[in-house]
Amino acid sequence: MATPTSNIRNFSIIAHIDHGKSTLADRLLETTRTVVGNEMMAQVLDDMELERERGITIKAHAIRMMYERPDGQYVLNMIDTPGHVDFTYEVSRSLAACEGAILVVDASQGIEAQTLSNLYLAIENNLTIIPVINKIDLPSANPDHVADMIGELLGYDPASIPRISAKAGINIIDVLNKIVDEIPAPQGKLENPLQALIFDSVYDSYRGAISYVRVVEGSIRQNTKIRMMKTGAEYLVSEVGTFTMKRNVQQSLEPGEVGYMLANVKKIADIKIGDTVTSIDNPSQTQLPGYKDVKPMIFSGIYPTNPEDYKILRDALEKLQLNDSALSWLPETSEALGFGFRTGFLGLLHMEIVQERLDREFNVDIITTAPNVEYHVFMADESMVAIESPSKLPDPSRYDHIEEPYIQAQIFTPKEYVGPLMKLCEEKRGEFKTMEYLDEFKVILKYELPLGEVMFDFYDRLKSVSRGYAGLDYDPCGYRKNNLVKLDILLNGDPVDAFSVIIHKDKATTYGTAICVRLKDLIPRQQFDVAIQGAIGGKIISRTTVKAVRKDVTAKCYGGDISRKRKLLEKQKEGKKRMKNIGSVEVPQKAFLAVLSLNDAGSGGDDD
Amino acid sequence: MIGFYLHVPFCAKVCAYCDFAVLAAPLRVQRRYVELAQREAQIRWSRDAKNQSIRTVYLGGGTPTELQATDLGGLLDGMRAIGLIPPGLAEFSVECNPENLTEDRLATLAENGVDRFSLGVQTLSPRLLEAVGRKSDPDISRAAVERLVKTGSRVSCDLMFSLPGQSVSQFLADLEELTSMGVGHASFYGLSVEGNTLLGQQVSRGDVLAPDDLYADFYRQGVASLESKGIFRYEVSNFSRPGQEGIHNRSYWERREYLGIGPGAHSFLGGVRMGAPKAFSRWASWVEEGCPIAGMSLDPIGPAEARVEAIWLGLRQSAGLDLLAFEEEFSKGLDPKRWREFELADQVRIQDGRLQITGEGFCWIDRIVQTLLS
Ligand SMILES: Nc1nc2c(ncn2[C@@H]2O[C@H](COP(=O)(O)OP(=O)(O)OP(=O)(O)O)[C@@H](O)[C@H]2O)c(=O)[nH]1
Ligand code: SF4
Ligand SMILES: [Mg+2]
Repeated sequence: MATPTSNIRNFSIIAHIDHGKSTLADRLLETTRTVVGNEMMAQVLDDMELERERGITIKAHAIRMMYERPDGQYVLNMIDTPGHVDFTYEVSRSLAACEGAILVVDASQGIEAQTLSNLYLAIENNLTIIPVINKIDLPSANPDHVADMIGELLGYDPASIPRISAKAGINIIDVLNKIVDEIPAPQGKLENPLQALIFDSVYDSYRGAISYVRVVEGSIRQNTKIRMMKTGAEYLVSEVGTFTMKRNVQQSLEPGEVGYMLANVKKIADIKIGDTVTSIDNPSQTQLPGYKDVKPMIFSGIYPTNPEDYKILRDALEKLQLNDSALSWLPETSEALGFGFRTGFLGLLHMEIVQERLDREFNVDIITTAPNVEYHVFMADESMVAIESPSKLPDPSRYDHIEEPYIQAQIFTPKEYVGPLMKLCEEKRGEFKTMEYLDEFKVILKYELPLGEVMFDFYDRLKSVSRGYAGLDYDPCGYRKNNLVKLDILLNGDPVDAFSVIIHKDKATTYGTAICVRLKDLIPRQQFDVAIQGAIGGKIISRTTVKAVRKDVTAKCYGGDISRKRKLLEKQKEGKKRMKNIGSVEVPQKAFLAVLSLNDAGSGGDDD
Repeated sequence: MIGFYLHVPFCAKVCAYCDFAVLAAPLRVQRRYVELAQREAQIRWSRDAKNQSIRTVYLGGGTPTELQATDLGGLLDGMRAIGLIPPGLAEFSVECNPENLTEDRLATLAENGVDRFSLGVQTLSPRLLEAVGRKSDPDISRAAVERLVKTGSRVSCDLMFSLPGQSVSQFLADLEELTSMGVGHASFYGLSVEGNTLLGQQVSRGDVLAPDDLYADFYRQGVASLESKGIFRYEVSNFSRPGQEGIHNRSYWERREYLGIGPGAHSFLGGVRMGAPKAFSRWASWVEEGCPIAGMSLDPIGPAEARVEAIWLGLRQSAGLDLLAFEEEFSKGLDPKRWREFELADQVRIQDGRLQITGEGFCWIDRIVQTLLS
């Protein structure tokens, strides 16, 4: 008993981070009785372990709800999206599967960086936008002011914007009714050739690759012979269905419907997010617009801790990519670390999440190197080489100059933090562009900054100088020539390629000293002294030493408590797995990411 | 045949570095302990240990001799009555502190068949004793050693090194003096500063410096000094004249089973390592509830766990690890590649089919074990 297309509504929930998207999703699921009783918990859609631990949404989550009202029964397909800037790609993918978007705005924070960027994405996708003001229960809420601002921005009557509390469950019905009344029903026709958009996918260890599809035209059912229009792969569909809290097998998916599709997919690379699925028997001539390829912003090397695990790592990356299409990778080799992959990410958080997922979901032990941006090296003969890894930088005699990528940053901030934020941007080699008033309290500062400087602690520093109030959005804005040098790190005299960084000349000495001090804390004492040196073009600029240990013995045996010591041994064994032998020096995983924790570095420098 | 460990959780004053299950408690609590230990033993001896026969008894703590002679006698009588101290034991050891080794207590212990005394001397330097917050007087220790040696029992002394401010020569002088008094067994270990102790807090506040730079020197020279007197290392931190090895303690390293009674005491029975609640009050209510198994920490020893134990505990002993027996037990032997680097460095050797730690290797035993495990 399929719901007529006219009673289907497809929408995403979008907002700046923490404005309450997932909490609103909870209330919608509850009101429509999609989730009942003890299945319910806060941010119930955030089902990934990492999402629950960090309290943020990382993946877009799609779910189907049934909503009854006097004029009929509606199918609402909802996609809850992440708010963090690193996951914007998840938002744009979700929007392409929808006709509408709910734009949630926090009643006390007002319009923030990703409120605007996600709103523009929705407008680009021609979606109907329903603004909602959330957290009206907060004492600091200022819904009238926020309503005026949004009204102005969208040309929407401020008085008709629902003012809700997702947490307290206030005015949720208004939102549901607006979804039905304002978002257009999907357009497609059952008799047309099949066109379905793959908007997401996941690897399931029992069922293989599962595609999440939005049917635009025609229908798809068990035994439909399908072709992926981009990859050309052909398969027989073995199952289709929709997702509520679990997967529900359905006879078919019809125009406007959102669901999953299983086929006995042999090659993971056959499934490409953004591809159009059509039927072989009645093929569509045209593809759906699909997605723009994402360009990674930062790169880092990922290596298996055990060289034998190279293939396992490759497999894991492939499977993870099914569920994270913003991830990209190419094989590379490092003298220090062996065979691995140069991996591209959208930002530091994205990188961290990928590492964690490889570890938790795929159980591979990896070593990750410090992230860097892509540099353009202009050779003596004026040709340009793009390098994604500092170790690939040619000898200085062979190139003329290096260019580094810049971003245009929009910093949203209450006006009292403008001073400290400007100071921070200057420190990061930023170039001031403009300052605009969003309203009488809030300012948008625009700077052009080297991405390489923003990549590390910029976001954290921005948050701390603004007491958490400032937000950041950015877009790439080309490359610029700067005085950049390669800094090498040597362990007992041997350069370790995985530690090399490209850095502005003026900062090299400070940085080199800081990194040596930090590494001294991170590299455990060995049976011999380990000298750590920073060098530019062969010239040593900093040095520290890790003094040798003289024993490694637990003499005391805790009476009969054998368990305690054994468990300790087992734990140390795990720790040992994360060590990499560089020459004869044991280096732990976290040392390769030392640059990310430079601020924790203790005092002191040269110790000998 | 199993071992029986009885834990007496009292000390006159808790030392600054101590992280055992101990407390300084009034007589009333000590008597309550005697009753509860009896109850626990009654329940667990038949239920968990199935009344197997007892080979060795070890009365440890804390300080068993902190109990009044009459309470001590009562405790042991009770245990004997239910069969936990049978005649014909291979060994009956008692840990004692020099301070409270009075004639009446000694008599009680002798009547009960104690044939080995392990005396907590720690150091003969008054300044160092004070530094680690230990209530003791070196002259009393000396007198106690003399007194015990005279009874003809086997006597062991516990010593510590790498104490804050201790010099290697001081430590060697202690060893020298004690062995010359006729002590046939010694155990010593370096101070380990645990976060949850008074000393741990003093160190982390920076009030006390506890460097372990000299650790290896203390250890190396301590071993050499004892061995020159005919007292040989049979385990990382245990030394004896041939034939005077501690039978009970050795059974731990041989992965034999034992029943432990008392707060925080561990047992190894039916292939499961189990621990009673550590805090006295929690232990007391647990005993009153009938010692439910669910109230213990349980650690079932499967093949994977047994393998770790076999390697680690085997290598702690000078006799080392019997490679053939190991291969039989785990149907897969140890890969010689794993110890090659240590063999080249003279830290291990193969003798009579056994993998043994040698010389300098004892200073690196954790690293060696780690490598063999991975
Ligand atoms: N007081 C109040 N707090 C709310 C309300 N809605 C959400 N919150 C809280 O705001 C925080 C963020 O809520 P989420 O629903 O996780 O926000 P989100 O927009 O999904 O966040 P991301 O997915 O990480 O971008 C949580 O602590 C919620 O409990 C509300 O109406 N009132
Ligand atoms: S004598 Fe032993 S058990 Fe008692 S407090 Fe001192 S170290 Fe701890
Ligand atoms: Mg969320």
